[in-house]
Amino acid sequence: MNLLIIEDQYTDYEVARRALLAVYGDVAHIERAQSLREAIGLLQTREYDIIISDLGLPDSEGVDTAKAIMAVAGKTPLIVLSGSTFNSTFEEVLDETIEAGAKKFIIKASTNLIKRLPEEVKNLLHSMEIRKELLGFNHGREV
Amino acid sequence: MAERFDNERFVTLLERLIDDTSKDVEKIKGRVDLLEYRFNEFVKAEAIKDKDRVKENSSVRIININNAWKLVFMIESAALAYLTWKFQK
Repeated sequence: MNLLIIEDQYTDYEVARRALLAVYGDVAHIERAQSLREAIGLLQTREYDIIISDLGLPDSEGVDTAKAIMAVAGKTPLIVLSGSTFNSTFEEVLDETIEAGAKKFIIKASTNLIKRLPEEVKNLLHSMEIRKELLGFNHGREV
Repeated sequence: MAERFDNERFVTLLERLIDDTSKDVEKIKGRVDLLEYRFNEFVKAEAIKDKDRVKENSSVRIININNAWKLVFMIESAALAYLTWKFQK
């Protein structure tokens, strides 16, 4: 499983990375981008199963970050982490991020990251399997 | 004469239904998460020691986040059953 974590804060990246490795150590291959620009470069040349991104990066912030990632990520699911509200409310950031196409939204508090991030990755993988099964159902059938 | 099954339309409808449902559930889950986050911040700010007791008396535990996710699977299954029935009529 190839994961891309887009996070400029080293401590937050390490918390996320360790939380994921604790659960998916044997199968997870994790790469890091520290800016939107670096992330876009990686997304244009490599394939990932899941993208995990902070909304506050040195060269982008807020929902625009999620939109820019979604524009190059294709159908790769995006989990958004956010510790700021960017002059808005958390509820607004949450709604706009989900409407922009992100699959999950996690508040970036360390205890939350450790618990929720591996859970949400698992949920997402499960959901992707179900979706694949559902959408492959009845292919070409005539009634 | 049998009408040709429109697989493309079926997939489009199903995808839209799942996406809309998933978005709604994620917004609900996000709000539950926010409630818990704000509760924990409040506990820290007020230096409340007996956190569990306060939590038991609050609405924080009304919704279990994992159960919200199970709801998505239930709705996805129901959507599939409905659309299959509709296209088989």
